[in-house]
Amino acid sequence: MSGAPFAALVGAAESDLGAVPGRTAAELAVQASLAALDDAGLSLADVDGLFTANLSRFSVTQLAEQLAIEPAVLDCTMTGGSSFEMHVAHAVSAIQAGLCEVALIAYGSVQRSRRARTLQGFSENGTSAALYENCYAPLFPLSFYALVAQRYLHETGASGEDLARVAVAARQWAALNPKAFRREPLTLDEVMGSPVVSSPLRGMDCCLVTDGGGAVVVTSAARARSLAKPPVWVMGHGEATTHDAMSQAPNLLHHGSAQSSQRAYAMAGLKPADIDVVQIYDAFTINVLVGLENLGFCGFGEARHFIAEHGIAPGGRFPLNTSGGGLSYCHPGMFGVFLLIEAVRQLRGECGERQVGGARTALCHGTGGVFSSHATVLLGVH
Amino acid sequence: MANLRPLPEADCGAGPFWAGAARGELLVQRCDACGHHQHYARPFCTACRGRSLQMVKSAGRGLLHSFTVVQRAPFDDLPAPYIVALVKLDEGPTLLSHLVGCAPAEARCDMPVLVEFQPMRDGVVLPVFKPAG
Repeated sequence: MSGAPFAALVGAAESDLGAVPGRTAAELAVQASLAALDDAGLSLADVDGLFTANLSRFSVTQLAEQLAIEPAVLDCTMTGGSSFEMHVAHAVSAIQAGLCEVALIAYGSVQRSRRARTLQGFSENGTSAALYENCYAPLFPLSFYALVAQRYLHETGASGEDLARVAVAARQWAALNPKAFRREPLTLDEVMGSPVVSSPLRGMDCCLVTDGGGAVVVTSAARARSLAKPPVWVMGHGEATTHDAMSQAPNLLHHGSAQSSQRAYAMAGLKPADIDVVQIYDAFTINVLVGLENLGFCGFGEARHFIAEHGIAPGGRFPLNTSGGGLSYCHPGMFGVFLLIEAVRQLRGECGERQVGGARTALCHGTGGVFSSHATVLLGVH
Repeated sequence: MANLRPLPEADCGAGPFWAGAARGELLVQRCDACGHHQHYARPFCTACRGRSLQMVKSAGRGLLHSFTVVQRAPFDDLPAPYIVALVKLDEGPTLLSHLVGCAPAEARCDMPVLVEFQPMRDGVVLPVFKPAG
């Protein structure tokens, strides 16, 4: 980092994952919160900053009440899957400003058990989608990622197999993660044999639909050094947005992830080649290909060659989505917090069979909406 | 009860666009100062920030920037397969629509397309696009 880091991730944990019937989203967020605080060696009484999203309309007050705390900093920034990387950025800023010292970032969802996912997805009054676009019945969000994938294949010459290989690699990592929802072997033929839902994307190009919660704890540098486990320093962070509806995107393939990551790299004094382990929100397989390019790991249109050359599966030279990702580990609606949890565990050396040897730096990149919002967090251990 | 596609929300700044579509006109906004065209209507030009704009009729020609063939229909009034399209109009703006009159296997990015108008329900008419020529 350019200067000494201001804050560190000191706790990380999931709630029960997969199919968790008979619970509310907030109950899973509470379960994950308690586990993350235990992991940090801190208690609820220490928490003076609270960050969450999408539990309800008033998510953060709901969660504060359920945790029976009265934090001094409240934030329910909701930008979809990138929310939790933004929460880290906002927590670090609040800690740096002296507004709080122990920030809890928590999430939960019971979308699987409550059958909350539908093909048409969500529609909110007053959005450009509601005014101009939902009448055309795009699947939300799938069709929008499909529009990006179609253009990507057209411009780069990549194929459906190049997308499918991302799902196969994710499953190979998941096989090494006891907490992953889908661990049985997955072949390229099985992915290519799964039905097309919104071309060119097939069923197996899509993330899981699971329940689950996750939480991480962020605290000041001084407090972090006083705790038992080694601090995972927040080296840099960056946010960006380019559009809400896909029709308004300045470019289908050049995304805000380029800006968010450049902001994070600049803050950290790091470059892509310095990163040991990478977590990219893989809502769909296309996210990984365009993610690798926009985050600066390879040039435009080169992701499939980069993957073939470096290897993103276990044993490869570019460990990516080592939990199994949203494609195979879990996907409770918004995956951003789980990117952070896996990165913390990798940097602490807690990942058992899937541990990346000597990992000192990690990149987490959250995407929200339809490549609408982006947030990158760079983490490191000394 | 049938699960129907939502009607566009037109009792707002989107009203003129949908009124135009009902007359068989595809309307976009043009900036008086710099000539920039934009979709959707805003009270300022997204290029030069000028505040004086008009709704003007688009020629309705453009390129199929991207598309996706939807194979699982969420709504009862639109059976699969159908093709959701991002069309880049010759005037500049991109809009979401449908590609019609084209077999799914024949759709290609950057193919030229031309607007036509398709009744939806309750008097709402959707601009959609077909292969040009």
